[in-house]
Amino acid sequence: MTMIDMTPSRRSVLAGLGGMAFCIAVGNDGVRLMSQAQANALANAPINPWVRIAPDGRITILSAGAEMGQGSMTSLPLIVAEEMDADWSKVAIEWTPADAKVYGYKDPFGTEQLMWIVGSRAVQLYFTQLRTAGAQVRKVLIANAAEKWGVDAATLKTEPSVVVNPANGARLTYGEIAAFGTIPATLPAVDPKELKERKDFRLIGRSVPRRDTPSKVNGTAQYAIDVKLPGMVYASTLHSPVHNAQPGIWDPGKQDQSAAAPESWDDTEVKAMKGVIAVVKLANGLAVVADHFETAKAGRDALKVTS
Amino acid sequence: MVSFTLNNRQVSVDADPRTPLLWAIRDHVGLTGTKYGCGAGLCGACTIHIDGVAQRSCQLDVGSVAGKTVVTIEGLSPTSSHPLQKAWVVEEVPQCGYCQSGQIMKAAELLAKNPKPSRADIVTHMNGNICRCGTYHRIIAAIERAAKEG
Repeated sequence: MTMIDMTPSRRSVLAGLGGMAFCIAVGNDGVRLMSQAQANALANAPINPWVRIAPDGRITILSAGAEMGQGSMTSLPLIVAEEMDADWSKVAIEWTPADAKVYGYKDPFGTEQLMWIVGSRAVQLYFTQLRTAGAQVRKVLIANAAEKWGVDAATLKTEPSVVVNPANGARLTYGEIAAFGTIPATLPAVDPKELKERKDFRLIGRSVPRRDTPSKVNGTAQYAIDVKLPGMVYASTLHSPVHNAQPGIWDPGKQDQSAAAPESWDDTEVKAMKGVIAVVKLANGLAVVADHFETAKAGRDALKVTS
Repeated sequence: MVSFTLNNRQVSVDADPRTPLLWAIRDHVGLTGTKYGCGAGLCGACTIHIDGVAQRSCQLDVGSVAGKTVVTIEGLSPTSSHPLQKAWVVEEVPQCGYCQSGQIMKAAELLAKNPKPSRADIVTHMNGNICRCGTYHRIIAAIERAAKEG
């Protein structure tokens, strides 16, 4: 089993959650849920809760799919919610960290786990794993309701975010169950035959609004270019204006040789510019590092390459 | 130091007046909803309003807006409730979304001066704001919806 280090902050966050947290541990077989007890039993266990149910009924599901406009951040949690029979309006989505050993799907063409979101892989390759995870959560919720009511779990049904006893009409919401429920040390197994039939889907196969849309109409969506880190500086690079500029060398097997750094240049003026921090020679060009992007770009434009 | 009105507040930017307005807004003020696309005035991702006119902020020096009124996507509506923003959500216009701040600002200029544009008016006005995801049909539908629903 592959594990990741757990930071104290995450551990304390988890302890303070309340409700039910279904953690995730992963071997080389893809996403697999585990109980917190199982997670705690493992040194340095990756007890990142994949699914959390709060006593007020809010459900948080992690999404491992990078959102590039194709809807992955919505569709992957939706698969979990379908098998959980979660009320989608009560589901919040959070990102997983970028750690394929924990959050990746199993590469169908190899042995590794991957988080590549490419070629319509995300839904295809996470599909069964996420359905199984959702079904496990549902089973645990039903088992808690059955125990409280003193009835056979097999007689109970679910409606979105509610466990129902058809025999007497009794109902317990997922939030109510989260307030008293426990998660067994070993999560129940789910046979593929126990997954929902297509005709019973409430979410899959329907047009469900994407969750990223509101952030993309008011400027709050965060793109890589929007990230700010403490002490961050900016660089702008200058490359050869022609391809394969390295003199005398062409080795198709070494892609890093397909472009070269200049041999001589004059950066006196650039280094004197206010805000310029450094001029750096790269394997395939030059970079001007500065306090702001426009300074780096102005410095790059002022470089005088002589050969 | 350049001072101007940005989204209803006075800001002073301590930058060379020749700094592109786009970077003054994104990097110095910290409003990152306005996007850097081409940096050459070709794509429209950086579209903002200056005294009500849609302009490409990568092509203007911050010094040129001294004393003027600048509005970005963050200032279009404090509650994301501008008719265009609501219509953009209903029509699910964005895919990657990178160009959409500029698209919405360009469209807002149109509706401000022509509240009931024809489809041809919309196509003509929006020409030049590029969307690599190809959401043009939904952009047009959303502008039509916003014009209808106000």
